[in-house]
Amino acid sequence: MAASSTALSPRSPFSLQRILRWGLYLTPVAIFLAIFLAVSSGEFSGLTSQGIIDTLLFVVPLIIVLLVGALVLQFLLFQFLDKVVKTPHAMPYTLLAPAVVALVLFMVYPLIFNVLLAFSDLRRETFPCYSSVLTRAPDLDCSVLYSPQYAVENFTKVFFRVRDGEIVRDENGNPEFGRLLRTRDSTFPILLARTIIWTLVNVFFHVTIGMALAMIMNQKIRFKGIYRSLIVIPWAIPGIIVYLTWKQEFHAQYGFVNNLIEAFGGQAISWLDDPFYAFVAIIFVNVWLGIPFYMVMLLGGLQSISAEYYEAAQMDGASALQRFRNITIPLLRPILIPAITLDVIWTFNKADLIVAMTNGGPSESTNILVTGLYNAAFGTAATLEFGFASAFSIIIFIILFLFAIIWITTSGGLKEIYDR
Amino acid sequence: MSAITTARSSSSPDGLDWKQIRRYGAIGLVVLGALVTLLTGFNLGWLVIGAWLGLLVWQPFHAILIFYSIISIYPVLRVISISLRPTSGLLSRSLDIIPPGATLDSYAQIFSEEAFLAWLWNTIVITVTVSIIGVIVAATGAYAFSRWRFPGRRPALIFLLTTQMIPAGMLLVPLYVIVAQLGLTNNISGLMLAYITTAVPFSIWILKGYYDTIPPDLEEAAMVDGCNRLESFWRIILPLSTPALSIVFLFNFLGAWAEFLVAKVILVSPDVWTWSLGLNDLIGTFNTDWGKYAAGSVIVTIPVLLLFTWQSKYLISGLTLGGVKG
Amino acid sequence: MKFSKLVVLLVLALLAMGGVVSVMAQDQLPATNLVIWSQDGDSNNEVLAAQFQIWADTVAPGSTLEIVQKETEVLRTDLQNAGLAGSGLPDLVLGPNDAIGVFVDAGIIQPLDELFDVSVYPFNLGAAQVGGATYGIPTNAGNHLMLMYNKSLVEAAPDTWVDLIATAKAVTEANPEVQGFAYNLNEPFWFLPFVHGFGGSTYDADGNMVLDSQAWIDAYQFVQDLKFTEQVVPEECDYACANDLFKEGSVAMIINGDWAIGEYLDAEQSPALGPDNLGLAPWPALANGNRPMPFTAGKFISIPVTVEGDQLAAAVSFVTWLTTDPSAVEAFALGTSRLPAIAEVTVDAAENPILAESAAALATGMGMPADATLRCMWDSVRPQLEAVMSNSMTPADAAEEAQISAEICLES
Repeated sequence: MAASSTALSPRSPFSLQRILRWGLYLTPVAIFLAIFLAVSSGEFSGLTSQGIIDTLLFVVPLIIVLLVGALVLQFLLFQFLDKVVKTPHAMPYTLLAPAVVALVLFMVYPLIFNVLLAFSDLRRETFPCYSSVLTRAPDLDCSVLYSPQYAVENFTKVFFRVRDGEIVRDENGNPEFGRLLRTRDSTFPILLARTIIWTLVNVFFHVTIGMALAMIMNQKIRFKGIYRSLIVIPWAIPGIIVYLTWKQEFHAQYGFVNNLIEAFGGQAISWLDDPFYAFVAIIFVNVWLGIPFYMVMLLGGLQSISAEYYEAAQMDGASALQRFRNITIPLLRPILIPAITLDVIWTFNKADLIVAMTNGGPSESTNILVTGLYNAAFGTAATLEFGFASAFSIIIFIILFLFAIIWITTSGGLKEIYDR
Repeated sequence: MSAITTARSSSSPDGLDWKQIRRYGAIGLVVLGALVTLLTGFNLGWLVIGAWLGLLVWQPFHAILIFYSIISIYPVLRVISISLRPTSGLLSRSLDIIPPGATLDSYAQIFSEEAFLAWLWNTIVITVTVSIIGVIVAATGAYAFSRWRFPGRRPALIFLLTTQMIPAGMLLVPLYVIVAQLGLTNNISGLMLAYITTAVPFSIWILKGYYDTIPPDLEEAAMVDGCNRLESFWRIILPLSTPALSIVFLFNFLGAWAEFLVAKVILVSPDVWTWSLGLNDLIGTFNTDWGKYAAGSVIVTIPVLLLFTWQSKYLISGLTLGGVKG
Repeated sequence: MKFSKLVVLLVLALLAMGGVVSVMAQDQLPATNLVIWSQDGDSNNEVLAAQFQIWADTVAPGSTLEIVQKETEVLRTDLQNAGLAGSGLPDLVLGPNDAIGVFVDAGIIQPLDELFDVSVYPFNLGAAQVGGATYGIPTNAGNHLMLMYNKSLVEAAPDTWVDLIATAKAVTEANPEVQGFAYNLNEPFWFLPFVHGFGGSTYDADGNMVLDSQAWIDAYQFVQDLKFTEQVVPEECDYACANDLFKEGSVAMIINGDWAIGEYLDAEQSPALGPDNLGLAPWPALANGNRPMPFTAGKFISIPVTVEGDQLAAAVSFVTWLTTDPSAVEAFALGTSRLPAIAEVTVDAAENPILAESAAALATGMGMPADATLRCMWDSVRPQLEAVMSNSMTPADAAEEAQISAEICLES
């Protein structure tokens, strides 16, 4: 499959394609020259030609040093592993070393830090204890900074309401769920349920609409290239622009959506002021955003299914539905399972869209777990409880991790990835 | 509705010329749309609907694709429309794409009144560097996963998947402290490292999936011819992986181009801002200038669209999370 | 002609010399580089930078001020993070008083009583005092919401809400494209004045938080009626919406704070307004005869605990000069269209009708406390207000829910 896609066809040296390609190679150079000339003319604010030269003098040597340094270090590492440690796996370890270093510095270390925070008592009142520079009030007790006891308290607070160190219980002695934000409905079970609905609905529409479009695009139709370029556009526009644009389109009076409804005699809807419609709106935007990825992936899969399967099935008298169920789906499985896995994870954690469009509102009704976390840690409802926020984030992480483990083992779809 | 079901059953051979019937049905729907338009006081919307339904009957695939394409590009057109407005306001009931009194002032202003070019330049430097180094790091890493069985391989692959599960915002506070401790505030190389790290796991996934579809015999043949392992990787695997490498480049580029949260932590002072920080500043609490914001948005979208167009032929073949045995 | 020009020049020169002389009176300081995190808008920051230059040229030549603009929430989280990391704290913080209580609890900013003579700020120092100590120096008095109207659409400011509703309807009747009245519907800061107007407040006489008194219910009822019964406000309107519509002349009256005056006076940014068309007025009176009372405070400058030595000396010297030297205070007030925070400088109604109107509106407000627990009120009221404004909750239920929510918030 891979080999065939790059098979070269003979081309004349002046074919349109070749000219276009060189044009594209030259575009960045042209853009750079244009910027440089424009800046030299002094018409623009904020950037000088000296500034450009300075950055280049900084970045280009940096890249060279990084690459050469990495090569030298990797060579030394290989020699070390091969000659001193005498491991037979010296080569793969060496090849992975740069990725490992980067991941340890910017993923593993912050992760450990975050776990440590969950074991801390970092709140507004104890804040100076954890800093070397802040003034400590005379009566502030900073003797124990990290302890399992704190972790228990932090994790308890994610689920239950705690008052004076005790879980609050109702008349029947059942513990009362705690509010992660300020409203009655901001408890953990409700946010979790909403997150699951959000994820399922999104993934469902991503898969079905993406599949439908991919199947249409897999037919012999004209203007395929144009359609494909247009359909992937949502993927290409930077997120922060997309969210604000859609937010404006859902405006009750000035948005396109209501203008369209009213143009056909419908009743305008207060999209972002109503809990239900606000949820519909953010789901719509996220579905819109995710379809291109599926369309592209599934189209790639469909194109690699040999037509012979379908011809044979048709001769056996299989209906279109049967062919879809018995040929397309099984053969697409190795693509669908990893795609759905990633999509579930990404959708579950999709905070930026909701924060930008509704910020969890109205009345905190469109918060999912991650936006709850974001709002509790950084947003308007932030209470400076870092220990609690860390515990909260770890819980979200664990839920996803459990899902992934169960889903991967039951579906077996990732065997391909791990075992090949 | 009945017209649509008719269209679906057109493939069954029962003597009638369904193609002809569908064509008549389509014309009928367009005429119906025109009639309703006249009856509702020249509401052109009905004519559009009639025409579309007609197309749906006549050429259902094209009708669906056109409909979906419009939904895809409409927000882009709206951003363009706002950027052309003579006022800086966002709200307008007008559905016109070219607003009355359209002007390019916003485009001129964003370059002359804001440091937009500097923001763009910073972003370009960061993004290009991140994309190149990210591809190199991921390409070699994925090769190790694809071609060797070594202790720790499975846990490492699962860890890569795990990194995707980290909730947004979870690492911001630790990151802030690390950045401050390492003295990386306002340092673009620190930001580049952070971006490379976030992009590496997914890149390795894609590349490993793609390498897996390349038969190992090819390298073995090369090694018989006297290449060593790395030479055969360089000469055989990398050229064959162009589609996947382009996709990974694209993902690295996209990730770094529009990133906001981490950039906000590291790039504090305005002269090192990327465009996402700069544009966000334009729509702050005070002085929201939607015209300039929209103009900036249009400009920053162009490079990404160019990249997509450039790589569109790889987009479909290169994105493999798992191979199809077809 | 010539003579009058000469007089103007002479007056200007005298004024400038007065400023120079008062600056010269201070001791020379070594050149320092200060960093200020400012929550203020860009144009106001430019005024600040210009003022700093004047100060630096005479008192500490060669000094620089780096102004980093940050939004309210960003400023708060960044300051916390920098405090936690132990580095990267600025030398000065300029912002509203909302977060001062939090910063004091977290030990991030230092008490200023021994560094400044705080007795010269009579109007609003309370908004920056926690436990008897002062943590912020006011650069201005205000931050108050008031009624703003477009004189080309509304002849005179309505004096009661009955008037306002009638005026708003008349405006829309005359021109269907123009909305009569708009404000930031779902933001508690715009809602609190109504509560005060109905006789309520956040804390009772014993200092307990009470969010479910009859005044709160009346206020919820009032804003709900404005939207659903009278239908004089847009169906959906946030700050940007009201602000944009007002600037382009699509809305006749809004409620906004003194921070926006500069923007509205600038005819380039606000084509429909400018000095000729912008009018300011106190809030219209309610049926009970009271005017809704906006919270008043101002923008305050705080100093993080890490600032010491030359940095501290320069910071204190600059802030003292900026906020007490009469010519500096006047220049800053005029440049930012805000009211001065010291008694020595007063606004001349004849020269500055807009600032005088703003001052009249300020007089109807009530001082905003600096208590950190105030956050619990804002956060508890916001979701209930949103529910009331989407007609999915009754005012009585909203008040009850807010009270429960605030009590839970205060527990932690």
